[in-house]
Amino acid sequence: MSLSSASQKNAQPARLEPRLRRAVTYSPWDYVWVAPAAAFVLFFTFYAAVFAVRISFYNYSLASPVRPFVGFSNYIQLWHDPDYWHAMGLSFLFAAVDVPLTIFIGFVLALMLDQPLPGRSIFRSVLLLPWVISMVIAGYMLKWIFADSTGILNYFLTEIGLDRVRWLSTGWAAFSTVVIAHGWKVYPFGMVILLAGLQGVPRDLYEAAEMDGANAFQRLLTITIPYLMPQFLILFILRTLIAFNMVDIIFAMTEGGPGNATEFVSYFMYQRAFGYLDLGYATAIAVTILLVNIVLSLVYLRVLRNRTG
Amino acid sequence: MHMLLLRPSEPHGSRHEKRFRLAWTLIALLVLAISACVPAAPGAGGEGTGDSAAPVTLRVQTSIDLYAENANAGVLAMRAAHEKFLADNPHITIEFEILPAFDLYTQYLVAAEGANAPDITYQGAANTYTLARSGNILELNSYMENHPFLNPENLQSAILAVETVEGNYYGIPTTTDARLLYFRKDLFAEAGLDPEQPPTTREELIEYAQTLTKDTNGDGTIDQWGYGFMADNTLHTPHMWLTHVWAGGGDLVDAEGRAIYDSEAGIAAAQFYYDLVNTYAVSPVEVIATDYDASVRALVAGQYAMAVLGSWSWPVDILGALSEDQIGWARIPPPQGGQDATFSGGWSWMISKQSEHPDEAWAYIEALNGEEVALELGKLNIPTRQSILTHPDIQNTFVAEAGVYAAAAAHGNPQVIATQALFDGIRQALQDIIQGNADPAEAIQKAAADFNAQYAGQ
Repeated sequence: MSLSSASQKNAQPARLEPRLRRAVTYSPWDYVWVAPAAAFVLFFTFYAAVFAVRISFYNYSLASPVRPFVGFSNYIQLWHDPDYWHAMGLSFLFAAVDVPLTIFIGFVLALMLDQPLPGRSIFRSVLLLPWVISMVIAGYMLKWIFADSTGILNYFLTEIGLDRVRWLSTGWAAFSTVVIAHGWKVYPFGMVILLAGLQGVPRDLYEAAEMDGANAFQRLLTITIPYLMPQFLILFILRTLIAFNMVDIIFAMTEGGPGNATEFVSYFMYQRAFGYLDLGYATAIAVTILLVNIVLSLVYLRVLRNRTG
Repeated sequence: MHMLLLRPSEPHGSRHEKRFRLAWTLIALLVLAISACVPAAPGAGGEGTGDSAAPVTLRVQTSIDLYAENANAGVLAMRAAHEKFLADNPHITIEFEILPAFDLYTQYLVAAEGANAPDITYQGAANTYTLARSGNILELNSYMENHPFLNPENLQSAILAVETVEGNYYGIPTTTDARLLYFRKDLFAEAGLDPEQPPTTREELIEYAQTLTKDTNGDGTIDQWGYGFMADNTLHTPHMWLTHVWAGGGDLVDAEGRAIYDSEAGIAAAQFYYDLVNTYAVSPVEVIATDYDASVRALVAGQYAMAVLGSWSWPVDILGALSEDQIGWARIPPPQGGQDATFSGGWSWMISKQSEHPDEAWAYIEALNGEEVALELGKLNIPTRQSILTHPDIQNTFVAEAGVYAAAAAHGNPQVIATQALFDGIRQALQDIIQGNADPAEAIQKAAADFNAQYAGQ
């Protein structure tokens, strides 16, 4: 069996055996068991989302009992707000850097952990540690590490003869620091997902490919990556959603500073809601973030599903 | 995943589809039932209000944990007052909601929005204006006027101004504070300066800071800065900077809520910040990313020889690490020909307008703010009451002297709704100026103009 035909055969979508399909029947009680969870989701997400969209058409301030209907005024204001576009641009830039970077790191680590290396289980546990720390704790901890004057990172840099870096007081450095901090915190998620996917790849495909003369890189490109496309799709969508909705690490590390160098659109929205108390404007921002997330998810679905055939 | 996406095998309009619709109808009804179970406004169908002996539960939202393990003398005094109140009022139950200080404001507003506000809330004095204008807190005139201790006349002027909105009083302040100039006496002595003579003018401050700025270990980088100040993304930044604006005779907003800090005094204060970092190099540009706690640590560690910080840091953070031989405090030096000025904040107890038991709520606040409690709190931070400030136990202490300074020179939070927007504009302008990315005058004028274009008069 050649490499290409082997990978194509195993890349076909799964079909349910007839006997198994007959075993999957539906009972009304199934929906009753799901009902509480569905009600929770409906109320706290669907209803909340509908309410949020509604108040985006009002001048809705927590500081004023008068809340007139203003139509699209909040959206028009948003269109003309340079701070909003700056924040949205930062979020796009962050997503463009953070998402592929964290998925790539997770993929490399997953490949390493998939090998029969000595001490693999210990490495796996250690590599998962950043994931178990809360994002806020991680943010405060990394803020201390990256602190310009008193941070341990600058201490080590000066000890080896390098200049101190203004990690948190320079715009581009603060942005990079947030990317590094966030990447360090979330890479285990991708690593775990991809490692699980790797363990589902049939080993005989690799053997067949090796017999056909494929080297490690070719096996990676033609077997491993195509097989992991569903996992990559999930990761790209989830990581992008998280990148556009991230507030916690910004709040802990930089509070959007210096200036507005790390004021991502989600933090910008948070400030407008709970700093400026302008819920109407903040929910208009939220609606635009939702639309961006939907569009990007659809793009991923189309691009990556095409690649999986 | 593919199994979950399989459709039922039965055809359209079948018995299964009818059950499918029935199940989703049940789910929708369940959602409506849950919505109907959302609690109504507080007190609906609850306790009666006319009979004082009827059981009353007061919900108190605060950041103060009366039963914290490491409670200071002020909190212990409050705890004793709380327990005495409960003993004297057996029909009243107090339910505490302890929150982080920075969360109190938002949590209260959201609770009020949901008609679920606590009876009593503990808020930063800075929030009084917005809470009052939004109709969320009760005016306390009838309780405060003619009160033997908690009357308005017994309040320090700056804090009274903050707690008064359109002639009505809204909060009972516990303590207030001031921004002070702290200076390292030991570093002064090392640099040949008189450790008992801090700078008295802005010009002197720059001169002293130049003498105190040095590379102490010869590695080519400055590790002792003459002067440290707040310029990060918190409210400390505009609060500290405003002291320099007021000292120069300027102000933040006018009576109509228009930003006027782009006056000559404001531009001079902005130029001062620029000069500290870029012209005289006596302050590090890293101030724009150094938070308050890090600034205190820098002062204690000797990285700053002088710094403007809050009075609340003196008794514990500063004197907990240094002796009074090593560090002192002084008034913030005004420019030549200027006037003393500092920023005062503080925290206040307020009664929610939604409270069904305002009289009981007032009685509890009155108990927590009695003279004995105020005296203990006043030993830790600047007292808000004139009678406490002149008490023999307070005389010749730090809080008395700082209190005299605050009484004479303090300004409070501006009375505008869009405070965050006002301060954000200032903060961003200052950070651009400090980094050398903007001309001080242009940046300050633009910030004021942008605020006025969108928020003036609110």
